[in-house]
Amino acid sequence: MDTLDTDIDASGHHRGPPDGDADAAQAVTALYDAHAVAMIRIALIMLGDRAAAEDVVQDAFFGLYRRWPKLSDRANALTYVRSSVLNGCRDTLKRQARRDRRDRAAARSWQDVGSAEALALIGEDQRRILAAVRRLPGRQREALVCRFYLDMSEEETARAMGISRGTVKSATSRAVTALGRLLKEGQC
Amino acid sequence: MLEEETTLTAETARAMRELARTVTDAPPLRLAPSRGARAPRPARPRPDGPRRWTLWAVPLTAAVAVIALAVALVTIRDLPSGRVAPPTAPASSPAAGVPAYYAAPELLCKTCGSTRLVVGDTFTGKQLAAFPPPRGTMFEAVSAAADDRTFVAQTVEYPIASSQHVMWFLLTITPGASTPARLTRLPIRATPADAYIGTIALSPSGRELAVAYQYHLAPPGRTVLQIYSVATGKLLNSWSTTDQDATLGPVGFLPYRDSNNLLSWVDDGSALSFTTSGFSGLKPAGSRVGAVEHVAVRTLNVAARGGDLIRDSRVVWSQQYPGGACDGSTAAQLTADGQTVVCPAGSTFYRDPSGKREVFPLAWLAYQLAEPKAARTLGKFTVSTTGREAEAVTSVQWANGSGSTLIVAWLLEWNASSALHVGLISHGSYTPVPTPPGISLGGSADVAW
Repeated sequence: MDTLDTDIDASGHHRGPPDGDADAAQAVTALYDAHAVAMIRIALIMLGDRAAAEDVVQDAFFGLYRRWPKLSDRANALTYVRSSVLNGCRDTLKRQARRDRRDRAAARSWQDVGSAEALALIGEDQRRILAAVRRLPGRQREALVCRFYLDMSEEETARAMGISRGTVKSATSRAVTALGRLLKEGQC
Repeated sequence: MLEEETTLTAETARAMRELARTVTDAPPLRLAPSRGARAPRPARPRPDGPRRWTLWAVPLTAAVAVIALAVALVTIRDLPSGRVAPPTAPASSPAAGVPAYYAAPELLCKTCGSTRLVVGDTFTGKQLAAFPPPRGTMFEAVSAAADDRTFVAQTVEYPIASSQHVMWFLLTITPGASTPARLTRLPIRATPADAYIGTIALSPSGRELAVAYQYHLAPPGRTVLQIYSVATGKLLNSWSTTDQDATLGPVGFLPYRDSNNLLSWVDDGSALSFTTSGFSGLKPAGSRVGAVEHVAVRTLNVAARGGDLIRDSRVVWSQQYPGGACDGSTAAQLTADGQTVVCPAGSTFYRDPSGKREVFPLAWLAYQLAEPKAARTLGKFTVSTTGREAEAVTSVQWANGSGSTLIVAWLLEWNASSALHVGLISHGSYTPVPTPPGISLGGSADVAW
């Protein structure tokens, strides 16, 4: 019989690792304890929304937990989680984009997206830059985060984003250009 | 370090880090989907249902249909005030004075990072030759001489290493011959291992190669322009600068940002032309936020003794941003006669009256150095899309000696789709030509004509 690979079993319950892999929860929780803050930071930069960032990270670690028995290279679990976080941010941004027409989104300021507490702690110039980053298309924003925040190489960024190295280059350079223009034109 | 911090990218990284530091703790891990996650669709037994392949074939077919529809929805039409006829049927025969052949790095596969070198026919798209990369390398850049038969290509190590060992190759093509293209290793010595090559330019005669690179370790930010003999590999001349207020490239130094139009030979190979950008009105702290940017086209006499790249070169044209008519993210290019600067116009868009389409007027401009403020429109048309989140990017890929004929590229992205086009602009008309395989999204000029 053909089967579908989903997260839910026939009784409607979410599937986790088989009982035989009781270490999964412990291992993933340990990874979470060690790296959740770093992952939430990445997602916060991408999304500008702390609650959404935490959700994305929770989902990424939950995904790791579910796939733990099948994970061939557990040493690369963090790489997997980071990619999942970036994917989750991408999906969240797409959902946001669908909700907000671009014009309206462009008119929104960084302060409108629920990070007022965080913004109170950083400087005016940095706020303006982050507001400009927030207005970049998702792929460009992701490339900037990978290249300049995470210090990833073009090759690593390409792997993390699932795109070619050439596209990383063009996305990055266009992001930098757009950022400069937005800032200089006083739109942020 | 201070120099690095004055760059926009450094400021962006700093802003990101500051925001990141506001996160100091995480909520407990819940080993269940978050409240924001989409609920997965329950699996249902399908004893009599379609076979497994049809389950994914249905969404795949739908996706193909959506893509086809989206492509169909991208239309090209006249701008009422435009000078140029709408794009016509693709050119399939050579146009006078336009290179008939190109060379470009092409990804070995869609998800591969490595590239091979391909040679193709500009007007038919037919591939003449393809060279796999030497073991452990990938083709990174290529530049053409004026004869349409001679190219120089460059490889870097692949997978990418922290040091960039570079090799150079001469590519000669002989259309119609039993071996239409040959690749020969050149004796040019490698650039320093901690340098990023930004752009290369082969002289019109094919005898000299100009290479611009920037150190990324020590000393950081030092830009070097060198000229090598193609035949002997001998270093003929060298200039450098650490001036961060006139950095090579329209948006600062970026590796391979504009491989083939950032640096060009002019005046029969007696001078090099390049684009620099700089900022004025910096705040005391060195912040570039709110500063005015100048993009300048400079010329450098290659017969003069090497020295300081900025002091020894002269500004022949400049534009200020915000306000400049050229797209400041792409290098404005001085044509080979040294008289005209060509550039794509800055892209804008508007929504049509129905509110359903986003319309992008695309244009390419020329400035005579004798009248540096007067822009002449070489080509102009509009493209539109029903997609949201659309964006248009334009570039000049090649210009003839006087700037009257251009090979241009334009990219339209919307939603998750994109369409990349290449065409000729000549005598006020735009004619599509096949899109070379190596051309990258975003208008970077990795294709050499």
